[in-house]
Amino acid sequence: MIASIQTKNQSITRTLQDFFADLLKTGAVDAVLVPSRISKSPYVKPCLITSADQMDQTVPLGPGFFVNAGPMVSRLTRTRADATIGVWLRPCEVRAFVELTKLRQGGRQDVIILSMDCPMALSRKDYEDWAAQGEGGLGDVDKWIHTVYQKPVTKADAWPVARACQVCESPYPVNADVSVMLMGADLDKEIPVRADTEKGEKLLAALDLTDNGQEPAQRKAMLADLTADRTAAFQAMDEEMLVRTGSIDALNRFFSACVNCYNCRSVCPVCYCKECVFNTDAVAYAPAQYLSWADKWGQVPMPNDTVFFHLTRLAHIGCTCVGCGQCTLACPSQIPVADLFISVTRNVRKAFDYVPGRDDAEALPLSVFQESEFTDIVGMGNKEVT
Amino acid sequence: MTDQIGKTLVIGGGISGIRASLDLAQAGFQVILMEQADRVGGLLSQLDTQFPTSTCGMCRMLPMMDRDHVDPQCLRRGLAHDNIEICVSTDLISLTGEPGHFTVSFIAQTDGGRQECPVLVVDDEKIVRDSMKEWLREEGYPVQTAESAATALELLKTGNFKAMLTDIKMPGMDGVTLLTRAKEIQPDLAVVMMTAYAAVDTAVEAMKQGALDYLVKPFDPDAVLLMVDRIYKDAVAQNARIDTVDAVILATGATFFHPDQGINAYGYGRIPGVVTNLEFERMLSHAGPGGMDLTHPVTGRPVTRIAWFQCVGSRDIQTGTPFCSATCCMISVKQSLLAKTMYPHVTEACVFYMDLRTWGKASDAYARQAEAAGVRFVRARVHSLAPGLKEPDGAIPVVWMDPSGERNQSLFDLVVLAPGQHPDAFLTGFVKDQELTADDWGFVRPEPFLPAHTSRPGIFACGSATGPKDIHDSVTGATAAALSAMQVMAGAGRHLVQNSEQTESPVQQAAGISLFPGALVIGGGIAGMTAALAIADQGFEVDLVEKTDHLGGNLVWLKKGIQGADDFLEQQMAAVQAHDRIRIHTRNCAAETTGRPGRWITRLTPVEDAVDQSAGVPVRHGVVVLAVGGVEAGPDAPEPDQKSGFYTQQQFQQLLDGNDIDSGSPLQVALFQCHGSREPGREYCSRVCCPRSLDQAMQLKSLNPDTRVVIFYRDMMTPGLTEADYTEARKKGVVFVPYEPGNAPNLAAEDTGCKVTWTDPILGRAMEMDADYVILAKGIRSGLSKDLAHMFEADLDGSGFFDQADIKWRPVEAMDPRVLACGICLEPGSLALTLASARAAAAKAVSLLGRQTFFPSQDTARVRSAFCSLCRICIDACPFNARFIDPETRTLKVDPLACQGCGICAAACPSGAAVVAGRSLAPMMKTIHAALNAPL
Amino acid sequence: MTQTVMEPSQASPAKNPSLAGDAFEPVLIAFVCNWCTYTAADLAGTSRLTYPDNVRLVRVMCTGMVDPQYVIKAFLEGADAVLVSGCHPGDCHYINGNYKARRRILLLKQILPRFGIDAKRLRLTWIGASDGIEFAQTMTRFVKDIKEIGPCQARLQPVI
Repeated sequence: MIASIQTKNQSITRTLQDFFADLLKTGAVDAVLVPSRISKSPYVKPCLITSADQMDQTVPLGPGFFVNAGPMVSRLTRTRADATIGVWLRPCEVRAFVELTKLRQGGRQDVIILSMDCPMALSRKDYEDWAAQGEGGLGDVDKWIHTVYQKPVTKADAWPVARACQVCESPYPVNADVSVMLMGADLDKEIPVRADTEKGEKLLAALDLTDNGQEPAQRKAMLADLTADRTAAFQAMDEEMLVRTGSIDALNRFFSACVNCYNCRSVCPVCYCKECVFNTDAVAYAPAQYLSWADKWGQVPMPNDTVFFHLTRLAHIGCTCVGCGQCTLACPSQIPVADLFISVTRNVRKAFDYVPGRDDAEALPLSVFQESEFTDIVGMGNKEVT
Repeated sequence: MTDQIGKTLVIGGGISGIRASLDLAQAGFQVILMEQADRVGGLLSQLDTQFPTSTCGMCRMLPMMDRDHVDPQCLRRGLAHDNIEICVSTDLISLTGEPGHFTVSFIAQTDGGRQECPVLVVDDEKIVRDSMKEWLREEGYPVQTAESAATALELLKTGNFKAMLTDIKMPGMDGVTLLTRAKEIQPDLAVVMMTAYAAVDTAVEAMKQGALDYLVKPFDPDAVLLMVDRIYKDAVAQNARIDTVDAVILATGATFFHPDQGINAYGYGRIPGVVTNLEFERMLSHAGPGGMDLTHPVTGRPVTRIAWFQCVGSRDIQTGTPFCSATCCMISVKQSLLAKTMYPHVTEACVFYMDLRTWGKASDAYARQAEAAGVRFVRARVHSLAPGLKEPDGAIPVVWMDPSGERNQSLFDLVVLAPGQHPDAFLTGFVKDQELTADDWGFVRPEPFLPAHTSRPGIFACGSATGPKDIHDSVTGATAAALSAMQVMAGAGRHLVQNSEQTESPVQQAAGISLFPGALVIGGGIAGMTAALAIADQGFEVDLVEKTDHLGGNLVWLKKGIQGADDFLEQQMAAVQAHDRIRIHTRNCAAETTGRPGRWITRLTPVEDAVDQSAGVPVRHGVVVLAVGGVEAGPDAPEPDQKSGFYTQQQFQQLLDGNDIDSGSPLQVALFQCHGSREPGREYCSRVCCPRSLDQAMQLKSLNPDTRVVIFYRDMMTPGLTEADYTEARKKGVVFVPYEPGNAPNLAAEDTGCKVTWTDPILGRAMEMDADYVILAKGIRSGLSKDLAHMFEADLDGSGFFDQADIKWRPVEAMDPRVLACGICLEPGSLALTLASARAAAAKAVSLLGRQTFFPSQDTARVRSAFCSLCRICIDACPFNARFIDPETRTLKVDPLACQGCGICAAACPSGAAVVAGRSLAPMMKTIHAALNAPL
Repeated sequence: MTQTVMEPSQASPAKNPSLAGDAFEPVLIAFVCNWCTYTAADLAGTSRLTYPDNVRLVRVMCTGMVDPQYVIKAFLEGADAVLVSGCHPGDCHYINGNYKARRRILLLKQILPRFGIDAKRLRLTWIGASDGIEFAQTMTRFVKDIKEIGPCQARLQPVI
């Protein structure tokens, strides 16, 4: 079912705010999770809202993306909530949540996932500059919206979007209950909304929406163009990463500014461990051990295990990385962590023919196996997998 | 205290002996495992792979619990268990006594063993000297030979011989004179006279002059060895160790026929390239003579064409082995499949067979796998072989006749002979010494309905000592034998070994699991009753559930067809009903179960109330035995009915039992084997139909010898000693017509009777018969439902039977050792096999319930809950279903009985919450560091 | 896929005597399964089949317990190559640990070569308990291959 929501006051933001308010008012949901400004600052965070008159600070679509809401939804669904929660998620947030459900960190029973063609994000620095240009501490959100959805771009409103967004190959909703199809839509007039599941249908029906809309005519072609651009951008980034990290020496340089703060891990939506192995006694070495390493090479940099940490994280999230770019945003040393992780993990996913977030029923690659598979990686003289 | 611990002597360290020993050791009893060879493992240490898995899983026999008592290692490297005293290179000297008190004396060969018993062989015929020398040396005796009495006397002056075997008739001094002279030199010398049958009188006369005994030519190697063994044992008796045991398990296996014995039609030992299957097994092995390749033993070139000849020295009256050796068909299927798939240069793999005996639930599919891989199966017995003198590269020409009498010829580089098995010298001697009842061929004959019992109380037997057996039957039989020994030890009031776990720290004790102290047995047929009785007799509570209103299962209709079964069934039913530890729940079924494995609470409800969720009795039990049986497979498509003379085997049996067949005038009867079996939909051999058809055919023949009985068969599945029935039926005039899928005889139902038409494979002519009865052998279907199996986290296999943890090595268990199965829901098989599996399942149950509480082993996985995110990746990764979330504490826990310490959970867990002692990240990083920094 | 390998900025062969001159002696870590390859190694030993002492065996109960972190750490600590060797398919003592290991090795083979650790330096083999000859041959061949490739960069310099 595709419904059409009439645009109000020529503002998509306002229209969506009203849409969320209606969800609460009609009782279709008991709460919504939507990005909202904090104390009128430019920064937005996902907020769990139960009051229909608390919508004016929400920014449903904008270039601010400082928390991946996937883990927030997992927090809301770890045990039964006894409520229905509508969650408004970017595609990469849906992917993260789906992966977390596979890791039993949450469940879909109590949430209705609403997702959208992605409004993309700016890096922290660019976002602050963008926000400063607008009125009331925030940039012109509706202008941003009109720009990103009218022509497939990797730059929006003259601002270069974050690298992770530039290379994202699925900036449209997958595996949501309701998909908001903004790309190519006549946004002054209407927002086409598609129900993808029974839950989604019920939700739209509760708002008295009917099957009177259609997918914007240009949407598919525009998304295809966008994807093609982004594939090319990914290849460029991938090659850059090979140059910048293609040897142990280069890798050392790449991470040389890393201070082992583990922020990248803290913000990573699929790094779900309650306690990271790098916080445990597993890496608490005896003084003699450090001296032994130093003796081996003549020196040992401290804190050590920096590359070990990042490679371990690559092994842990190799299949589940959703490419949201939060790790780069969070790095105090401006290391483009996401560029490396997205490059490497896309390889990993290809090898396992796995796409995070694609399908709830798709098992985590390292949790399953088949008896006859990958036989070419076994043995001494066989074809190499690189 | 020590003298009150139960102790069993297990003779024979092959897989049967190992299995029985481990079962007893696991149950907490002491074992002396005695083996003549210098290592345990028996025949299996020579086989790298086994069918139907094409792998080796021998190590899966190792205990799953109390693993701190056993060395975790490949059994090819050896076996070590705290409760098993392993005595290799050891000879049994004597065994006397009764259940609960046997006195055994034995001696290590290294400790005044056979090396200390040199033998002198005196004969003027070189071939006699040489073969005797070979036989005796193989058994470990030092041997010297002399071609005349004079030489012998010289040798006697220098050497310290314990025995002299001398011919009587020799040029120069004869054997009797030699006897007298030898006794003068060495009065304690044991002298055995060797003589032709005609001169036995002289030999008897010689015994009066001091000869110990005599042997009649031509010699049976076993008779020679027995004689020398006797001398040896007498000589070393005073040095032997003496011990007391409660019970004895005989697991000595069998030996192989030597293909160069007798007429040697296939030129073994003469024609290069003719090898036995055991020799081929070594060639196939990467550790064998060809290394990584399969090469000709003489030319060294890669082998391209290989033929297998079945039934060499088995199913063969000429060699005195009228029985089938049961395993050789599958060994050849395996070898041909491996040769064809492992070595691309093997272009031709061809198995010549009479009947391809792929009995059992997994073998037939394996044979089809071989066929699909390009192995050719030819139904023919090759008469003889001649060396291929004119053939290039010494290829061997193989000539055979196909069923129509047409002559075929192919060249092969290798011919692999599948020699049969027969009792070995030890078994023959043991049977004689202990006065055990043996069958016509010398194998121990089990007591009726007690598959592990010999005719001597307290002495049990398993493995091929009771007739040729494959691994699966041997392992099942060995566990059944262990139960019998446990029963003796319990009867004698013996205790278990005090286990060290009882002194574990309180922390570990807290992590232990206490099983509920009873068993739930589902199915009141003979398997369920046998298991229930055995468990209850050992002092445990049993709930026996049966969905019908009576006990007995299939044996109720089968009992008249099996001698003695009628009385046996009556006895068992009476015993079950009278037993104060068995509660019988007829017309009941298991509706649902709650709780963890080992602490199950299963709700039994009357069959008619099964839908009512609240009805029923909750039963708490620590083990479950699934014994729900099976049924004769029904029609796959609408079939003509009994009016046209169509009967299933079961229906016809009832007709026979009711004397409802009018055979006043000769009848025409067709028995149709594999009807719907061994083909898509039911891809297994049910193992029971061929013997039943033979029995029915013979009954018909005895009702009226002129009745024409034709059995249409694909392969007569009469493995082992049941071959005798097949031979007997042929003698009685039963006609056997082979058919292949696709050219099965045509059955045209008529108003009365049925017209059967077929093409005779020999005459190539169309044949027909107006059959009064057509009996369809449809095989067995398992009665086990998915729901019931899943209730206990077990599963069904591809054929609908209980899915064993390992078809060969753990044949009566699910992956969880607390879930057991027996009877024909486990696998199709005879009453004997059903009783064996039921007793084996009971042995496992008793062993678990007897221990009751299980504590973690040193390597049992632990959970550091502070680091655990409850993501359950480790639960998915655990192959043993050992990890679970405790609903009360919402923490992850490990079942110490299921966990095997493999560490797979630790590798899967990203946060280090799953740990296995010594195998988690921190110690492993230290190991890696040390390994890297060790000097080159 | 092309790989850009940059020259190491620092190396201290003096501290690595086995790297001096032409006589490069690689160090290989072999994680071997207790039930099969470890037995094969034992068999190779008792059969006097020699294999280079460049190989350091680390016995594991199952290849399925080889955490990718072990392999990563081995390389970062200076192993020139890593072998993981377990039971043939269907033969795993723990039912399916070897299949799980295969996926983990595949994962590592997607990651490590990105950082200049040649895929040839990480091997997975199935060597059964009776494959003593195969064990010795595999080790000999592996050492020879690694001698040709040369030392792994992480052995020449400390990794941060």
